[in-house]
Amino acid sequence: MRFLFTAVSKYGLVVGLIIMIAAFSIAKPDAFPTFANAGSILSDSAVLSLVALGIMLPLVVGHFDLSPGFVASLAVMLTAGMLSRNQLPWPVVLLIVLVVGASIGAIMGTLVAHLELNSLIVSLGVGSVVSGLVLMYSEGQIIFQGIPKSFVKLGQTRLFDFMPLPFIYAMVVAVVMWFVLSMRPGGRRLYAIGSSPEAARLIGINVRRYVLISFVVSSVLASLAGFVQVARLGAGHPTSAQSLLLPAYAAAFLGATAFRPGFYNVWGTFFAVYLVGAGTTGLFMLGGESHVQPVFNGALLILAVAVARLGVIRKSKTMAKRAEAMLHQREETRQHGDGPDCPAPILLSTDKSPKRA
Amino acid sequence: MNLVDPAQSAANDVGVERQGSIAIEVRNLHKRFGATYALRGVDLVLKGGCVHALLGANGCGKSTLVKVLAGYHSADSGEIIRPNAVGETSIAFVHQDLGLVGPLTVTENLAFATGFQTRMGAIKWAEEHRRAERILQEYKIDCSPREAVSALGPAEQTMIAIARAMSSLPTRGGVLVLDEPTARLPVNEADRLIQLVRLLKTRGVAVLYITHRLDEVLQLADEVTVLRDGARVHCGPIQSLGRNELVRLIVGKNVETIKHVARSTKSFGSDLLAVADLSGQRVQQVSLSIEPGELLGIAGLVGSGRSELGRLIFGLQRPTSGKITFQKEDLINHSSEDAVAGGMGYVPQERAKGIFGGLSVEENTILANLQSVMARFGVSTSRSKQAATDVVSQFQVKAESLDVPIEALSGGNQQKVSLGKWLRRNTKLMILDEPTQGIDVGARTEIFHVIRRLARERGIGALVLDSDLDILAEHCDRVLVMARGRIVKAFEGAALTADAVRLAVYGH
Repeated sequence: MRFLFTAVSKYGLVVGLIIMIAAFSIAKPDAFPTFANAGSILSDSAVLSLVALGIMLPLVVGHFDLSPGFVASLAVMLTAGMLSRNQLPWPVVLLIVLVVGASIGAIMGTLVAHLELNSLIVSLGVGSVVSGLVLMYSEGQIIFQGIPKSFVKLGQTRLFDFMPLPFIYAMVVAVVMWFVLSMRPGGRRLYAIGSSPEAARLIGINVRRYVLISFVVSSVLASLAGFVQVARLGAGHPTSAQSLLLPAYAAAFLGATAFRPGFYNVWGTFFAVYLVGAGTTGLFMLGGESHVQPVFNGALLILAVAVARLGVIRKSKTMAKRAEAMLHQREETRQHGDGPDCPAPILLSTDKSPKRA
Repeated sequence: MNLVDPAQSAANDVGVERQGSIAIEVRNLHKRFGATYALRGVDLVLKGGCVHALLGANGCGKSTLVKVLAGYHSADSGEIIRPNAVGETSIAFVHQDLGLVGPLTVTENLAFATGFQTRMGAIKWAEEHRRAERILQEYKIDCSPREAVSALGPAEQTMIAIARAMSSLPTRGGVLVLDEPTARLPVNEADRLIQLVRLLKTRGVAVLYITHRLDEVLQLADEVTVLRDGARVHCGPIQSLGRNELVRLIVGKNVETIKHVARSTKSFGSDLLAVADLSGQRVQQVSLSIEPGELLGIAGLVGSGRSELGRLIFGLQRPTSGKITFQKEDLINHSSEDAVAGGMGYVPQERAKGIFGGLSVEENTILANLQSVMARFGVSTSRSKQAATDVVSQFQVKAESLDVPIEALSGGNQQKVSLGKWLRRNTKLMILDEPTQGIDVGARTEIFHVIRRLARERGIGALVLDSDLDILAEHCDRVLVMARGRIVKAFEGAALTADAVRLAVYGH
């Protein structure tokens, strides 16, 4: 029974996704469970998954990047603009866009890591500046002419009439990130920093460098997301990417409840994104209007954080019970450990921003 | 400090605890947690105006007893009898987590317990500050009521917590439970607290004093109860007991008091660390050297600059002048990263900073040396497990499994992991800042035995900064005494005794 319970909580997202697909398939048997629809969902959510994976890194080290929507919008306009107005080949455009993203990330990372400014405020401020740049560049216009067909193929091709290329891109990024975070020393150090930046510093981890890198990667992925978005839609819309912020965070928090509960992780985030995507599409099919999406995203975000918090509360209660039981264990050899004295500070601290969900 | 209305204070006078009369009595308390038997028929009698020390290795049931008194647990059987109880608040507690609000002032923290005085809805601040000032003077606490609590030293904070607890007790009598109040205080600051407790005695308060520091018990307590494995093994006045007997009662056997383990004759070379005229903020022109395989202890009061010395050597703080030479190389403007890469290890004063609380035991052991657990592409699970198992067995860490978060372990076991992880690297010098703070006698000895063994076998040197002079005298090869930032005395060999060091520390 306990095994079932842990299995469900660990893979709850997958289970939730399956249930949701089943429910919508029953509700709309002609429209929902089709290859075409599946392809659409995969394609729609690919951009979101890039953004969600991006913001995950600052979250792992204990910071918030609230700029990805703006950075992605900038990437959208730069991509569309450079392709149509300047007629640059798309590899060059990609390189430029990624470098611009990296630079923005580096600025934020420096302010947070070296000047120790609050990441919420820094990313909001920088994001706001970027949004101004977007308006300036685009003059509020949607760019829909002059985008070469060869480029649009990158975003609209579906392998075997089903698998959209953007999903492949997102998958590749996810696999790479998963590998680095779970297998590489750098990934372990990121989680260490998230757990305790001071302890990390004391064992010789260059905390500043890793925090800086996390912001750079976040912005690079946001830029990539914008690039892919233009390829998918064949047009550059200056504000379409801004609505990605909340669902990205919903996905990251929701993702922290599965696969590696209590820690932000790649597969959890990835599945959460598709849960959001499938859910939104399903609701539209059931006749939901455009307002359905933000309501759904917001509700899901709250649910995600609540579930995660309950998980933490349950975990600490279990831990406390275990600690007490261990404390009173009869041992053959002398038990010398201390009671569960609080490693917590003497003073009640004001609530710090969560290192993990 | 009683602010109840006149009617109730009249009732208080009726229940006044006279000196020596029983304030609270615990009879035959039993408590089980599932299979574990935490309290087995424990008796306890607390008398007004008496300090009753409660001793025992953790796991003995001390914490459970306190929690039952506090109402956090309910006992399975037994009674708690309060012959003169007036209302529910005649027991006040000061826990290890003081529960003060850091950013707020002393006045506010005190007023939270008693209630703010208001006039037409607004707080009468002037009145409140005056009231706080009276309390501070009464308890001889040296600070201003308008100071933020977080700006105060740990001793003042503890005294404020005690003052706050006292405000919920009647003017005379009541029961005050102090749970390891001096655990975070260096020895001289603890004295101020002891004075305060003596003051409370004169007010007829029955004090239940829980501590690991046997010196305080011998100094302050009138009666002592020792618990072991949930049962009371001793109860009686303090007069008949000496230090060794107390230790024997707590641990259940004679703790070996070997003064010095003979240094290995195996030579590891010379001059692991040489410090010349090092100065920082408090540290003034300190020179010392450590040889491989040597344990050098630094004793001194708070403000002597001990901790800072450790930070300067480890690269956490920039020296203002002087030279540090480590393994024959001069360290110039080095960071903690450089120090670690070069072969130093550091166990910080705050235990929480030496561990990654939310991460597993296994993760904690490998993070300091990820290179050693790598396979071809990344971290190898098998090597990682092996490394963690090695540390756990070598240090006898008691953990349910390697996957539990390290914060689930007891303080002593956390400390063992915090120390053990360094020894997975090619660490040549360990800097230990108050490594045995809040850990009971048995675990302390275990930790130092391991350090000494590693010093003998691997030639690791250690700089031990501690205020527990007995520990230093017993386990270190040499001890330096620091005062006001300078080295004032050195002890080694036969001259190195706890008493001699104590004299030097307090004599300066």
